Formats: sequence, C-alpha cells, structure tokens
Amino acid sequence: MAMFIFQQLQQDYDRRFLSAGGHGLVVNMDDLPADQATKAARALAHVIKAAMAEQAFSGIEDIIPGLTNLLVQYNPLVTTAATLKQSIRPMLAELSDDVGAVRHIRMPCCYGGEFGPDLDELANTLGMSADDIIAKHQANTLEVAIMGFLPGLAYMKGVDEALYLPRRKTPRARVSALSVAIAMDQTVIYPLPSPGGWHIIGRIPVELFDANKEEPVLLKSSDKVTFYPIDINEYNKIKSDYKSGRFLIEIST
Amino acid sequence: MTTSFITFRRAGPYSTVQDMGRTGHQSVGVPESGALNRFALKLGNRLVGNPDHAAGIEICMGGVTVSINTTRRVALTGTVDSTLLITDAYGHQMEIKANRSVTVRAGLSIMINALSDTNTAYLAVSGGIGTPLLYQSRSTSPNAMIGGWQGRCIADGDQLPLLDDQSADTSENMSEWMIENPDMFAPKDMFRVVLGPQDNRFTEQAITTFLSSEYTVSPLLNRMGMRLDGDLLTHIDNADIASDGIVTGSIQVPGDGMPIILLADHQTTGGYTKIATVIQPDIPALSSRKPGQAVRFTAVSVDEAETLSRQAEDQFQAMLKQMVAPPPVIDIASLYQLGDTTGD
Repeated sequence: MAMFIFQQLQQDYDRRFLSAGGHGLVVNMDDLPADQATKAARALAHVIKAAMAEQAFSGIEDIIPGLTNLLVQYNPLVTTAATLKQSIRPMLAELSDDVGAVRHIRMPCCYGGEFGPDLDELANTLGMSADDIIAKHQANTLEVAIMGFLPGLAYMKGVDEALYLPRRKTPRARVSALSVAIAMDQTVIYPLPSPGGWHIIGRIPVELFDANKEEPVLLKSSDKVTFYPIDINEYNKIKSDYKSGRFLIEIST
Repeated sequence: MTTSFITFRRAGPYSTVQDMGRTGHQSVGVPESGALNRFALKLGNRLVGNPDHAAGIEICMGGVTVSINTTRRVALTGTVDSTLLITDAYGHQMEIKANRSVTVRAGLSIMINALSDTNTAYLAVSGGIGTPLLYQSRSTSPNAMIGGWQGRCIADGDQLPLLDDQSADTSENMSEWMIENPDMFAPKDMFRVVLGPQDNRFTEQAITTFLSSEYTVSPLLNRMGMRLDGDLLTHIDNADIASDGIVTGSIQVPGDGMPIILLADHQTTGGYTKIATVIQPDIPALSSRKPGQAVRFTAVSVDEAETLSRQAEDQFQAMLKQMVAPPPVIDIASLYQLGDTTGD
C-alpha cells in the first residue's frame, strides 16, 4: 500500500493546536487540502490509538476525527494539553496515510419507490433518468470520511460528480430509519428516524447500529462502501434474514 | 429471589437513567451522555453506599413520584433546598432534606415536587438502577434512542429494575449519611470559558459582547444543549465550518448569532463555529440553571481551566470526607405497625 507522507503539514502553523476548554485539544490540519486533512486526521487518530495501546498516553478519553481536524478529549485530572501536544508534535512529522487494514463493505440498497421519495425529483433536476442515478450511485466506491450526528451514521464521500446537488431547501421533519440519501459529494444512511435535508434515494435492509450486538456499529471511518441494488422482494427477504442472523453483510479486507 | 424495581407513578417531564456516561465512542457517533451534574450523582451514590458509576435517576424540573418494592436507601442530590416527601399508606408524611440518605420501607411513596433551586437533580437508590449496559454504561441518550429504559425518557407507570443492594441483605439499620455543607451545589450565574476553537471566526466586538453581556437560558433546553437568548454574536464571514468533534461545554453559534451550549447528549460532530467552551468543573452548575435565569461568561486560559478542574475535584473529595451520620428520622412505617397491634 502506498504510504503517503503528509509533508505539506507546515512546521510552524500557528493554528495547529486549538483549545476545546481545559478538556479538549484540537489538532487542526486545515493547512492541508480538505480531503488530505480528513485523511491526516484519521491517520493521526490511528497513531494515537496505537500509542494508547502501548500505554504511551494517559488521560485520553476519546479521539474524534473531524473533516479537517482531530479532537482529543482528555481528563484534566490526569493529563494536560501541554503534555499531549509534546507527544503529538513528533507524530505529525511522521504521519502517513496508513490507518491499518481498510474494510470493504458491499451494501444492499432498495432504490426508488416509497423508499426513495426524492429519486424522481432528483432525476428531473439533474436531467437524467432514475435508472441513471441508481447506476451512477452504485458505480463508485465510497469512503467513510467521518462518523457523527447519530450512533452509526457515516458520512461517505466519493459520489459521482454528475449527482452533485446541494441539500434540499426545506429539510424533512422526519426521514425514515435506514434511508440512503445524497447531497454534494456524499452519501449518508440515517440509522434512526431523524429530521434530514438530504435527497432520499433508497433504503437498506440491515441495521447500522444494533445495541444487542457485541460490536453495535456496522460502518467505521476509512471503510470503503459499494452499494448494490436489490428489489423489494430481496429487501424483505434480507431484512427478515438479517433479523434471524441468516444474512451477513459482506465485509472484506 | 424477588426482583426489585422502582415504579414511577409520576415520571416528570424529562426523567432519565444516568450514570457517568459512555465515554470513548464518539468517533462512531455515540454520544457521551451521562449525568449533567456528575458531582451530584456521585454524591448521591456515596450517600446510599453505591459505587461512583452506579446509575441513578436524573430529574429535570421535578414532579416525580416513585415507590420501590423493597426497602432501600435513597438520596436526593444536586439541590440544596428541594426535599423528598415520603408518604405511607395512611397518608403520614415526612420531609427529608436533600444531600442525606434515608431508609425507605418497601412500597412507601417518594415524591419530589417542582425543583426550587435547580433545573436538574438526582435520585440515588442503594443498589443502583439495573437497566441494561451499552458500552459499559446505563445512561440514556433520548435523541439517539439508546441506553437507559428503552432508550427513552421515563414515562408514567414505568417499572425499572434495581440491582441488588448488597448491604441491605442482613441489616435492618443500613447506614445513612449526610453532608453538612452542600455549598458546592449553590446556584451560580458566572461560568468560566476557554475561548475557541473557532473564536477567530467572530468579530472582536462579538468576543467582547460574549464576555460582557448577560444571557438568559431559553426554554429550548434539554440534555443535548442549552440555547441562550441575548445579544447577537456576529461572525466575520459565516457560521459554517468543516464538521468536527465537539466536547461537552462547547458553545456553538449558528448563523442566527445566538449561542447554544452543548451538553452531555450533544451530537458527536457539528458544522457550526464554536466561540468558546465552558470549563468542565463549571458544567454541573451550568446544568442547574433554569429557563429564564441569567448566564454570564468569563475567559480563562487552558492552564487555568485544567487547574480549576483539579481544584473542583479536591473540593468535592473534601466534601465527601465530611460525610456524617444524620440525625435519626421517625420511621413512620414502624409507628403505624405499632398502632396496628392495638386493633381497630
């Protein structure tokens, strides 16, 4: 695997470290191009976690990658921002894009109909057929840029440029759980019923967050995701098979 | 063995099961959650003989009536002035002060009226609430629909399981405790903040306004955030940022210029500028503020914030060391049992 070194990270950037109170340290990477910054934040999270596993850090409570920075939440009774900065600075100089094994997930999606109420309008706006949209949406391999908003919600980047559209002018008060939606260069799947302003094109038959599972979250940062179309019969079958444990999502590394 | 449970005759508007939260999973979108006032829940747990991480009931605004089907110690914390009203089947009532534990016989009614000096208080029960663990925590995050009792706020009629009270098996005289000086829970209106991480996106005037004017807690208040009303804070260009992580206490200012302080159930990432962060030891007192009450801010450095965290913890530990046995309360249950022997 190519090991890209984030050499463009400036040595003396005065906004490298920002404060989130006396309990959060932001490692800011916005001197990099946006997509590189996202990768750099994830890569730094990976390095810090590895160091934590070796007990090289104490007092870190959580590490939260953002699109252009990494938030390190710490316990001020155990460590300080100054101590953390001292350990993190040398990590930045050696940062590569290695985030460990990347998983590839094949995600079934039932496009259109009642599951994709925005598909026809989207087709009109974009001047292409609904089938074209579905074909383009499944053609690209997406990458989970960050997680956030709700448990298990992944912001997946890499949507075909022909499908780029801003969010809906008026957000919906309620989007059904497991709806697949697009806006700009991204796809999201809503893990729960929630308000939402993205264009809804389909629905998946499996849960993104399942509290009864040992590992409740299906998707994670850096995962590669490819959608494949299923019809309503397959949707119903997979949904019931998933519930009884007879259907497993395809994950390869 | 009988199952112990706590029954909510009146659940109140926004009661939830909370403990110290499920820290460490925000990178997959799982909110930290946990008690808004960690000091208060920890104190409650100590008073009833529980470990610090035991789950209790977070009460918002009050109006809660419960009963427990086994004899347990309970304590109300997070308030100085509010009390527990304990009533037996005959209507005999006694009032128990906050910040002390009391042994309550099985089946008696335990009532918490409208909270007087805080928006948030805690009912700790010996043994602790026994709802399922998710990521090692029983905390409820109602917006994410996870944890606690069915992932939601407690409703009238709900019966929540209790864990066994190890100390109660043999002893009729379970130890009770009180603290003499609950000053730590007295109301405050000045909160210390560290500016940033996006203070550079606001005009100088906005920073001055933020640190000098008085804001009012809006009625739009829940475990996710506290919206404030007051002077507008002006952005240099706009309120949007590339989405990033959030800590509890972050003060987000969206395009309308009105600050929102993000609390324990905040979304794990957000796309709005954050002008400052309330320091961790001030969050308990902040979450005690009620709609309509004043909130003001003063800036401290990161070093000062970290030192203040350690000082607050020392103060809390010192308070715990001053736990003493409370004066006895008249046990109405045994009183009426005594009366019963005369026949009627």
